[in-house]
Amino acid sequence: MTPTAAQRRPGLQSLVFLAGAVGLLGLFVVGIARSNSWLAPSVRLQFRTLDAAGLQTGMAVRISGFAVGQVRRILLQPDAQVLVELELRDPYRSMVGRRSRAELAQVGLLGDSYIAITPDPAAVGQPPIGDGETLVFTSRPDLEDLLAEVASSRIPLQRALSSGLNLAETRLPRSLDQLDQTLAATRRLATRLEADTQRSSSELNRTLGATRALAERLESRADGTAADLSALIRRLESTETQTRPLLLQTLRELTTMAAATNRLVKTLNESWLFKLIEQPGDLLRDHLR
Amino acid sequence: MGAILAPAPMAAVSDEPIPRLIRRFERLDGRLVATVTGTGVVVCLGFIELLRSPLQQLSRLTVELLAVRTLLFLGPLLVSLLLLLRDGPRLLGERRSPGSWGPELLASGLLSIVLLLYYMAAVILTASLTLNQGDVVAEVGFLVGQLEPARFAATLARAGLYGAITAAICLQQGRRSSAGAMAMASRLSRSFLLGLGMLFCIDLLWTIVVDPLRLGGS
Repeated sequence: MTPTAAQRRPGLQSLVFLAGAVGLLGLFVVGIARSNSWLAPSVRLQFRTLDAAGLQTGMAVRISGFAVGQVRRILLQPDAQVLVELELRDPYRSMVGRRSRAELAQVGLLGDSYIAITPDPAAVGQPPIGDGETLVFTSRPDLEDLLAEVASSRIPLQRALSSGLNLAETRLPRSLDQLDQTLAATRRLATRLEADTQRSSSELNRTLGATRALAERLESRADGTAADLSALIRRLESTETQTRPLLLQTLRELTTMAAATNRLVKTLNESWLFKLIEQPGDLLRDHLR
Repeated sequence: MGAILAPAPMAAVSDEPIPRLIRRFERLDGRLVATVTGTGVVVCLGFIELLRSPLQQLSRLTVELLAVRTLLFLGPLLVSLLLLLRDGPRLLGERRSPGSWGPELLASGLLSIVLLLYYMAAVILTASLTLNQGDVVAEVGFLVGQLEPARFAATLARAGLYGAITAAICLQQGRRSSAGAMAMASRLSRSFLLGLGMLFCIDLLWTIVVDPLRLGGS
């Protein structure tokens, strides 16, 4: 191996490894750029808050739990307010509208904090939100406040629990005894009712049997009576047919006789004999004159 | 051992900055890259085993992210020490004034960065393959995406700085006038101990000063 060849070989090898290192650096940079959405267009939004606690540069921005951007800058303003700048990826821009709100949220109890943006359904179909627009920030209840509230409600809760326990200790055994007594009485009553019901049911069965027999007898008798009645009606009809001409003749004769009787009565009525009977003094006086 | 510790011949080489830089880069060969990637693989496997067995970390993503981030933090220290072991004897043989150390410091810094990239690739690939659940490419993409840009840049900068510091320590030790194999071995040993101590101190300072400052910036 000549010295020239020996010098060239490591040079080529070094160049290859250098090129590999450059390639690796490019891969890393592209991977980081893709992950941080440096290659995708984005829109900058902002909100103001009075407290920067829990906020951090680089924290995720989510819509409906889906990562759509990240916090770019957090600045303390001269009026002591905190200005937070968000970077939102362009495809999700249309979901954010004027009525969208930003709030600090957390994954689970111990998970990472993130900025949650509520979507604005009215923004769909409207012109997209502009670059640099300000969202309304709603702060969530502080964990310390919640703990203080829990601590303040602990004493009344404990008192209520102890009084409940006392009540249960004193009243519950008595109530249980009474309940036992009531149940025993109910059981006795049920037993008695069962016996009475058995007795009544046998008598009722007998009564029902007698009623059924009576009904059958009545039915048979009613059948016979109905046949007799039909025969009687038929006989009456035939009798009526036979006696109708005689009756008519008799009625005519009676009418003639009544007319003759009327004439006779009228004649008699007009005679002096009846007047004498009714007013004997007057007639006699007339006759005497 | 004697061959490794023998100083490089001084007469045949040029003293110009660019040839010196190229000469240093010519030492970037397969054995060095293999050593660095092998170190990455072994350390990553060991760390994942530590997380999974005694520490009972069962979440696959947690194990992967912890392994990758922790080993990336240790990466600059490891590759700088490996570079010190590899190039230390050569640098100890060069007796130069501090004003002419520039090409060596630059070359060591750049070589350290190059080696760190191979180390990172080895760590990420090992983590992806060890706990893979099917899609290796997506897993690698996910882990690369989890590298924070600022932390990634800081890691590269630390690797360059540590490489330059180890080179400076070797060059400074090389300026001592004693000659002979024993003196060379002694200087190498002292360089290694000095480099190790200094890098640990800088790493400690970085951890307790620079990182909290950077993270607290928000």
